[in-house]
Amino acid sequence: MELQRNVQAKKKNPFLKALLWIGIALAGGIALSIIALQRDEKINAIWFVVASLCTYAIAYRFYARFIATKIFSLNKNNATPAERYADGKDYVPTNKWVLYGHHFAAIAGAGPLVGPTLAAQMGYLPGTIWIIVGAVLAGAVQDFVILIISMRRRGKSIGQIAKEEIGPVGGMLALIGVFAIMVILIAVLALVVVNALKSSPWGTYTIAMTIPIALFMGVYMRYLRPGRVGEASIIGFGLLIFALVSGQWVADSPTLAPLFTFDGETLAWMLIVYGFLASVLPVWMLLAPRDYLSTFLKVGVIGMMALGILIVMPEIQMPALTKFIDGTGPVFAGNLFPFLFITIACGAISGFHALISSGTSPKLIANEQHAPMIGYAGMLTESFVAIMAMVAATLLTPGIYFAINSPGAAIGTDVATAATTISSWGFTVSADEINELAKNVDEESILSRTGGAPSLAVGIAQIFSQVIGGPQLMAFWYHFAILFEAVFILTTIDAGTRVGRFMLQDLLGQIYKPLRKTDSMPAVYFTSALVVAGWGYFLVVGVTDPLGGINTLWPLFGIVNQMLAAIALIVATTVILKMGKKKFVWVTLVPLAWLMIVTFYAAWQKIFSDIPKIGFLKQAEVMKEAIASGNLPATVPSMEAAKQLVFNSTLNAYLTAIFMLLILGVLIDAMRIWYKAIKSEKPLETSEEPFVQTKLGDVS
Amino acid sequence: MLNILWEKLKSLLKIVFYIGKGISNLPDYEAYVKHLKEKHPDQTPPTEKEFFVELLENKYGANAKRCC
Repeated sequence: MELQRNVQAKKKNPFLKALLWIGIALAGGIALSIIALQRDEKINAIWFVVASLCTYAIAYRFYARFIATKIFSLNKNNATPAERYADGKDYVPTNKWVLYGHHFAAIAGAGPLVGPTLAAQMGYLPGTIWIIVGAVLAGAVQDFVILIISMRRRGKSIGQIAKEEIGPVGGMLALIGVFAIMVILIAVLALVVVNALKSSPWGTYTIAMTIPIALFMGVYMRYLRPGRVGEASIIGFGLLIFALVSGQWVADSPTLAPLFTFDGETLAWMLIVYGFLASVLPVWMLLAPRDYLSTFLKVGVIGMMALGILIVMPEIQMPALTKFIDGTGPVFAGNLFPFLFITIACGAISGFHALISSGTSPKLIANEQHAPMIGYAGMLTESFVAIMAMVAATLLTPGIYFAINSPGAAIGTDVATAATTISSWGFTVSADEINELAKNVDEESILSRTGGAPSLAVGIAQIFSQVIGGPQLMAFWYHFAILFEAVFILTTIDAGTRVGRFMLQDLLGQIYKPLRKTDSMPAVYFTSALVVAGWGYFLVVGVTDPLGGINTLWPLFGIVNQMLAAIALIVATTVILKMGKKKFVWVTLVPLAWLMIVTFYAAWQKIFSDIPKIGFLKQAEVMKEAIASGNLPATVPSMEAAKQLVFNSTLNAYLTAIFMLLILGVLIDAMRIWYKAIKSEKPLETSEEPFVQTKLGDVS
Repeated sequence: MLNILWEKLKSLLKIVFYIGKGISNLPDYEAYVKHLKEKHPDQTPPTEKEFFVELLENKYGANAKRCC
């Protein structure tokens, strides 16, 4: 009922209301121009907070409402699926604040934390602008529109909607796209965890401990006190903190520390085995308890981060723009356009959200008029998380930032060489500074810990230790942040492998029926193994990649994620055209056109660029030449490894090409419908359910 | 005095658990039983344990989508 209440308030005092919004607009404008124009002096992080929050407020108040009323005519009297199909389990009218929390927890993960951290190599400005503008005009629009479309169709999934509104071909292609992104997403997130835990006994021990803790919680909730999630989560959280504290004892103990010290490859294999087990074990044992723990941890830490930034008000150390906008940066390769828009996917626009917006949320929404708060504001909140990640990355001294985030191939593998190299780029840093930071966070080394997690953890530790504990607690907060990220990445790995397994059973079941049975052990084991092999392959390749893996995998993930967003926006555009709202079609068509340009340009470069760091085919070619001449680069240990690299690069090139064809297929299939809809004088028939008067009272 | 505090704490915890359950998308057992009694009086409601187990299998089935 919030919209209505606002309308009433406006009637009461239009002048004050207008004044308030003018004030917000002014504050936002001033903050944005300070961010954009300040060059000589250091800028305070608080301006990022003001600029983003004010922009969000204006967008939510005016743009979201525009979409809600002009295009979809959201109607508080139209019963939602939660009421129409109420079953007490899947379809339940839910309080809008609770649902907002659920939706946010389901969409936000490591994505908005990693992307901005990597993008910070180009300076704070380009990433920050894209996070704010992208979310307001593209990401939040996608989430919101898909939520409404699904809500008006019994909460159907984006795949089903694509099938019904576009056709079976478009629907099938969309499904394959979803599966592909799942595999790459899991691989890249697993790589983030591996890089964070490599030779870190404290981190590895703490994360390993989460498994027995989750098992205990599972038994507690199933046998000891069925359904008592709250109690189990409190106990679990207590145990988690104990694991964190005792991690330091393990790290400091000469006998225990080696037991938890692993190299990247071993950790990768452990994750692969873990993912397989999580997929075949019953959910109550491991998956469900870990999910609760990670949900609460996620919401809690993100809140703490916001508070921490407000209290500490850190100064941003990174310049607005660095010389790396020309594409020569060590963290990821490629020019600002298009690669910045691929690197920051989640936080600005993320196609994966279309799955959530057409998943549980539309089945829980109690009133149509709650949709802006769930769909639009939910994404704005994730965008804010990305802004905080950008702050955490750029408050580090640039030299330290590059020491953590550059792969060994770029800066060398010892501290002295790294310090010299990074200083030669113009970001002065000394070997002592790097060593001291490693000592402060109680890690063997912080050099080349790519993937974004360690860098974010150092940023968080700097903020938190200024609020609580001072420098002595720096190591604690660092590992706390690592734990927080690793726990919810592991949840994505478990849940993702499982969902992937179900999708594969469904897909392959169409060819060979027995594979469909979800209670048949051979079918479950076989399909789980296939899914794990899929992401496990990319993970192992990433871990052994001399360029650090993240370099290759993250852009691939970004491209696929943005392409999924393109599919969602194609579906949305189709529905809007079919509804006869031609003149408002730019709302989804403009972001769609932008995404198509960005992803296709990026994908094209990833395949065909002449620069080996960017182009997959060129990479393969260079490596082939090296094999032929017998002169392998110092980072490639053996002939075998070199041949493997040739294969990997070629495979990546083909994969990228397949994704491009997939999207083109969906687009062409949809354009058929667009043409029909534009030519038609009347709206076309859609699968939208007819109006039903709600019987729920005031459900705000 | 302690009694009042305890009562207050209990009601506060109830709200916190309600929000927590909602955020993790766990429906209420009591609400489900109420729904069954109203709409399908012929069905016997499951025990809380049965409900919880079935619900988990369902929740982490094909639709347990989690973003990045």
